[in-house]
Amino acid sequence: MTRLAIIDGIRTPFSKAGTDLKSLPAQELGRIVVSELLERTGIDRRIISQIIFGNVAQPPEAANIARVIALNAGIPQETPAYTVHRNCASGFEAVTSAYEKMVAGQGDVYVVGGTESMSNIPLLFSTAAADKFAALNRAKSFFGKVSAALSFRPGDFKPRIGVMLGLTDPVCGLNMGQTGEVLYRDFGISRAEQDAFALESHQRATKARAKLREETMTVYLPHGKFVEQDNGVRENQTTEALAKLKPVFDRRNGTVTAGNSSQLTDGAVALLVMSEDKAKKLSLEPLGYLRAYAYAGVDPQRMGLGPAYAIPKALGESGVKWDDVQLIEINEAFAVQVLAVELVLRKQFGLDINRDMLNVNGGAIALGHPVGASGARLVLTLLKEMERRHLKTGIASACVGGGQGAALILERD
Amino acid sequence: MESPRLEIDADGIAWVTFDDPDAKVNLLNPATVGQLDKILDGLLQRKPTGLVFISSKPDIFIAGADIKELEKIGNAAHGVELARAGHKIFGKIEQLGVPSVAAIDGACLGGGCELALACRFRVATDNPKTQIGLPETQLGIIPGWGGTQRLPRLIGLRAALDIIVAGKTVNAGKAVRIGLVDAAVPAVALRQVAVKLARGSGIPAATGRDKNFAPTRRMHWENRWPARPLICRIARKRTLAKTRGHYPSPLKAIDAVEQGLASSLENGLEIEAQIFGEVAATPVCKNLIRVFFLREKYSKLRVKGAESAKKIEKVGVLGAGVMGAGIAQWCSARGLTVRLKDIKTEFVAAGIKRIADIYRDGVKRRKVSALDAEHGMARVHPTTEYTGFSDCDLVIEAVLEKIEVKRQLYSELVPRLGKRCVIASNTSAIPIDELAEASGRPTEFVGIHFFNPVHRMPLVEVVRGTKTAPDVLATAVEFAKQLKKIPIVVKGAPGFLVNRLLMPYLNEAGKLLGEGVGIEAIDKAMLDFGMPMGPLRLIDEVGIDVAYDVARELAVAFSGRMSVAPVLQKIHDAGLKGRKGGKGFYVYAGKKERVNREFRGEERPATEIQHRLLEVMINEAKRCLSEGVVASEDDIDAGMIFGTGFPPFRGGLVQYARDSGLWV
Repeated sequence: MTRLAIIDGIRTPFSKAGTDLKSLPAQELGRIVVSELLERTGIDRRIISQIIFGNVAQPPEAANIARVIALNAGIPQETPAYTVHRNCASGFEAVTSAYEKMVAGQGDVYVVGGTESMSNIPLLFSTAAADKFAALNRAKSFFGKVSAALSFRPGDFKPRIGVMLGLTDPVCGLNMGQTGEVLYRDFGISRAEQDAFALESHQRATKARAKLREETMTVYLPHGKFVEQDNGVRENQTTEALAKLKPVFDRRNGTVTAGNSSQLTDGAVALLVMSEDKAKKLSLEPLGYLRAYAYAGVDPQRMGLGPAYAIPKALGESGVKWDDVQLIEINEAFAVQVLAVELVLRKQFGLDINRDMLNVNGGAIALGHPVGASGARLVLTLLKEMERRHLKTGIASACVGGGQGAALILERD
Repeated sequence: MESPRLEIDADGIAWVTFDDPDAKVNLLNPATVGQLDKILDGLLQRKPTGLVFISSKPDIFIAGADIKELEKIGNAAHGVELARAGHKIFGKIEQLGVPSVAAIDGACLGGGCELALACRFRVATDNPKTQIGLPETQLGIIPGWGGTQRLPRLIGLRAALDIIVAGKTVNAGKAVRIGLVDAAVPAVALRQVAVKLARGSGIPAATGRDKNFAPTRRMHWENRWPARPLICRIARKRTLAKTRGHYPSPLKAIDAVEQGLASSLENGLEIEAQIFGEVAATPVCKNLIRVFFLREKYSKLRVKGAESAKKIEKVGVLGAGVMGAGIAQWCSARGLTVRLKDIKTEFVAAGIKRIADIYRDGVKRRKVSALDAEHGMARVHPTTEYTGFSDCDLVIEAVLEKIEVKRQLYSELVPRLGKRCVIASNTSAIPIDELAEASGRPTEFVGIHFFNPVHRMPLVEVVRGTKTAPDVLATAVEFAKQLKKIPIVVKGAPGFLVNRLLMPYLNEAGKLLGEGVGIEAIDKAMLDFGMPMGPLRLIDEVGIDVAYDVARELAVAFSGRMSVAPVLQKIHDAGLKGRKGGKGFYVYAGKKERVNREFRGEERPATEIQHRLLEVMINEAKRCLSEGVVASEDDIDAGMIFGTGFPPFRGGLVQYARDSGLWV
């Protein structure tokens, strides 16, 4: 079977929204990782067939953000670029899109990745207010302008918060945290279990600092500061501290807190991928290969279960055996959601996850979840760890807002 | 084919087309002016319905008078004659009495602009190469073919002085705003609009909203009493503050404008001719023309091997200090991709800040658009690792001036470079041959010595090592030109040219100080001479530590005849650093600064100070020539003017020495 070779990758540090990287818009974060990827790999930019980037918030000032990134990173203007969006799996989608282009015979070398600046998701005006602004803009005479201006009411200036809108499913009406609470009610996964999982994520990420540095570049900011490390990791996180937090999405009966959920984060990831043949021709030593993948649809109210269905689907379609899987990354949107996935995999599919194989370097609860970039980060983090441990097969998976799951089967040599 | 040539179209409109077959640009030389005169005489007989001046050269309308002709002006009477002749010819355009149009696409400067001003209408393209203006004062003359008279009458005194006094040019957009041209149009519409104007159908009266048409002509209150003398007085004051009285022509231009406006156009033109004659014959004018030609010569310098020079697209810069960051910024601003490395994250971060600051400053001064600055910044890829150098076309090392540090760097860097990568050092102190050997690739090694601040100083010394291959040297020269810098080629001798001449000068200033002459007396004497900065202030700016290192380096290299001035030794030993440390020969406290009172001194005649300081430089220049550090006297003058800001009106160090009888 044809495989997509993943040659190398690099990411920015992941920074909590509103902190170190807040001054850089998503297109600049993307530009930085692509520039650095090109520098590190030394790849001839003229042989790149396409740039494919995942991004969720899609900044209004950078429509088709992949093209903006490509041009700003000095990719020749003749090289096309497009942006993909599958919510939290957008970073995966960039990789699998490249695969699809490749098997369709459309090129053989791609720069893919994901970028997100959750700090820079804009506030919006209501449609009613927007109409009034339009009327004001159209008004020609002085009196017309005054009367248009007088039509505004204080409520018109109340912003609609873009991040919140983006994290709310318009079909089922629940926001992502609330879908976590649905899983709590379905499976009865206790607050204590969730908090323990979250604590482990921080502890593993703390221990893996040096390893994570290997996939991270230093970002230099124009005012002379620089960012080297993921800043969401709480090195001194404790059970007690986690227990003190109030549930965010269901104040009275809820279990999902800021502590056992992923964080709003800024960050970007870039990967150089190409056909296996091309890698051989260029005598490059790939980090690993994309063997197979699957996307699965689930109930939007229980979107967190996505991996539980995507993983068996990917295994079934590729013929890879569960017993051969040596390492797993499941994106930690919410602790409750990963735990529910474990349960469903075991009960419904008879697939047991060994915790020693799961998110061994911590996950999004500690590192953060820049939605458009996370998928690409999971691929990178997983392959780097497989390399360290000399493993053959691994799975990277994530749940997707709107009720989907994604799973990528990756292998080395 | 001759230029200009005449065609009369079916509508009876006369098209006068400039296209000099023997030159890249159209100039107004005796041949073209004579031909123009002939054409106009003919038209006076035939009476066309309209008249259009146009060029069929890309990006050039008329670039001005031929400067070689200006150089020939021997005395005032000759100059007056030349101006009157021009007035007479341009006057014929007005005499024709038909709608006349200058259809401008590309450079429209000096005499070209004055021709356009003599027309009833001007239409210009929005091509970025379209620049309209009167740069005469930069050559030490004043506009002599009606510019000082017609421009203020057309656009008003203030806007006219802005252009004439500073020798500025404006693009089509600005030209429309100030009323210098009647319309700005895309190049494809130029002929069409010109025809319309030449038919006398006029142009739509400007409404407040349309930026492409000039406002209808109006009376300029500012051209009249009492505003006129007031405005001129302010303009004179500002000019004097800038020129320190060394450059007479901007002031003379103001005279011509002011006196002319008080009288009729005819009288005004005669006033202009008189003043033009007066300034055109001065030595300042000759010297500025010399500088103009030096700039031309060196910015187009070609050395052997230029045809096989490598095109540079990506540059590696090692070291993110003041020089490294400055070089990286300048390269990125000129469209090159830059891999910038330093050994510590903190150093890289500081370099990135420097680069961002230069861009920010450029945006503030409108030298660069915010978008271009952003893109330039994005071309600099910082790192602390040796990745990203394999595809560099050229690397420039700008690390500490210590041979061991550089040796270490080369041993790590060079194996990672591509086979054809040119290796350059920005060193100003270490012998280039020694570095070339240390690099292990001496034939690909060359010195490229930039001056601080890189974004302001036009000179680059390209240093030839004994083993530097001709195409490598040529690549370095072409690279400097690609960066829009002015290269001179120098031999790899200590201090190369500029520092070699500058250090004895600075050292001599130190000796004077040691003899009890005051800091202010010394610095003021050299400012009065025309230097952009006094020598002691310059040491402070460069940094006393840096200046001391260079001085010592040279003292070692030329032991016996050079030695570090005791004062410099003393102030260095006291640990003072100059401006960066807050204290040197001056004390810097925030924005305030004063002379360091530890150095009390007396007055001494400025001429004596100037003589002492210049003499050491001149003597050193002679040695540089006889040792073959540079090949020609022009090299020295170009180096001093573009590398140290040696006063252009003096024409260069050698030129000054010749003028004052010190060059024997």
